[in-house]
Amino acid sequence: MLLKLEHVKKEYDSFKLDCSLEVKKGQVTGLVGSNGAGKSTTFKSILGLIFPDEGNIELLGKDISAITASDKEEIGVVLTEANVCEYLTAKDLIPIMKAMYKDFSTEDYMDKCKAYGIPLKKIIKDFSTGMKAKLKVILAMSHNAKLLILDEPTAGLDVIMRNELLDMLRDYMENEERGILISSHISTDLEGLCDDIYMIANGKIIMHEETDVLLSEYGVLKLTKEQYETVDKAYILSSKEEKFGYLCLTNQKDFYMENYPEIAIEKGNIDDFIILMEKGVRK
Amino acid sequence: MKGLLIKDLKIVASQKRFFFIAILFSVIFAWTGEDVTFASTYLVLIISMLTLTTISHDDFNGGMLFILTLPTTRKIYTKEKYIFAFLNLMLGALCSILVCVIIGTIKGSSIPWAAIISSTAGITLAMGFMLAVTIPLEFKFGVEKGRIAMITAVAIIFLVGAGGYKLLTDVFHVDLKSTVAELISKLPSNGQLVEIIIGSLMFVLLLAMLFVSYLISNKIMKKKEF
Repeated sequence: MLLKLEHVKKEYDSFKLDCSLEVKKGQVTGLVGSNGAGKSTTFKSILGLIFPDEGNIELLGKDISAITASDKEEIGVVLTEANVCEYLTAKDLIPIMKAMYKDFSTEDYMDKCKAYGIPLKKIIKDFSTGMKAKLKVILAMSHNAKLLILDEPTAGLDVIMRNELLDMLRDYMENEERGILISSHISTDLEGLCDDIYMIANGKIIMHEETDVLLSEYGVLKLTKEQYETVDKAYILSSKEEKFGYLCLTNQKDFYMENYPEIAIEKGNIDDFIILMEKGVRK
Repeated sequence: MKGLLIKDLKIVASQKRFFFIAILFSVIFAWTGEDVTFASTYLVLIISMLTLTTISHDDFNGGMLFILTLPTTRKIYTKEKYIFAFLNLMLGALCSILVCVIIGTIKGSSIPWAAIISSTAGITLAMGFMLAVTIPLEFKFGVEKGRIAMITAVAIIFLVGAGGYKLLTDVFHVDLKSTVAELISKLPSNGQLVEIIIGSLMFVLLLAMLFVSYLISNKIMKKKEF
């Protein structure tokens, strides 16, 4: 196990986090949720940037309070709010990273900067949003980390850059000892990358499922009011009232296809599932 | 620690134009001015401020979040800042003495060693005190609010000092000036020895101030949430 959170709680004035999740070796785990759902608070708790009120965090097999500076060499991090010292250049970062990480590869870093169009001698402050985002990911992957913790790494990237970055992450996962925890508000990014996905809303994990199951067995039922009254609700996770009747999220799409052929059923995507789980009435 | 020091040196290097202008001005002051000690105080002041520049850069646009995700800890970060501050103070003192001595030698005038060293030591101690107050305040309140807090703290210290002096002289009728003069007269008559004693005391005082400040900063950083 690379990462385990057990009821990590943190309370602010108008927000309460209560999060449990796991990241296993060889797996890419996604965390999805709308803005303010608790993704960044979860990431900051894992990285010791804020202190949870309750709960346990186990990072690389150790309690988070026992994590040393050298343990952190095994972790590569991208945080939305965190930025590389912006008055330096990408080249200036080489001796810093070399002094920080035993496994930092200058050659690999330079190659990646070249491949992804990162200028080495330009001040980072003058980079475009996309270039800054790519540099952060390149740095996180430059030192052979076992665990990548990536909070919205694709934010600010266009579709081509996003795909390039996702390819980089897939290549990174060729080593089975590694794992990734990634969040994104662009759920299609996660559909093609993650092995399992946690959904978070109002600080709570409201769903955890393997991506394959999510995409093959989950679906959205479009029911009239009459259909909604009569249908078997055993496999309905959440329902939301609409003008025409009800939208319902099910984790047994096939059951309704077989037993209620008259019902309109859509395959749906993770965005639809998030909306239904967040805005609908959950079982 | 090494990585953080390199980062700070890189930040300083990125300000090389500013650094060059500062040295140029101090050379001009030392060359044109009758009082070379002004050049020495100016250089120490500029170089010691570099520590605060690096804190501002670290704080800029989520930089601290990035730094703390690197293989370092809050304690190492704090320790590095104080080592960097101490090195800057020493570098500033060394540069100021060098500029004054080199310019004095070129001009062919006699070098006022006592004035150069005493003014350098005085400003180094004063800047050390300023850093010892400012660093924990900037850690606690952030760079912007930290500077305001620093000005307030210095004002309070001044008021307490001035108030204390007034209280001692006016209320308790202690003649401070003659007491200090008496203390100085009791020191050994060997001038060089006195200078060594005072110099050593100032150095110890500088280290003590920075150490106490480090302990406070460490406590602040330990509890700080980012």
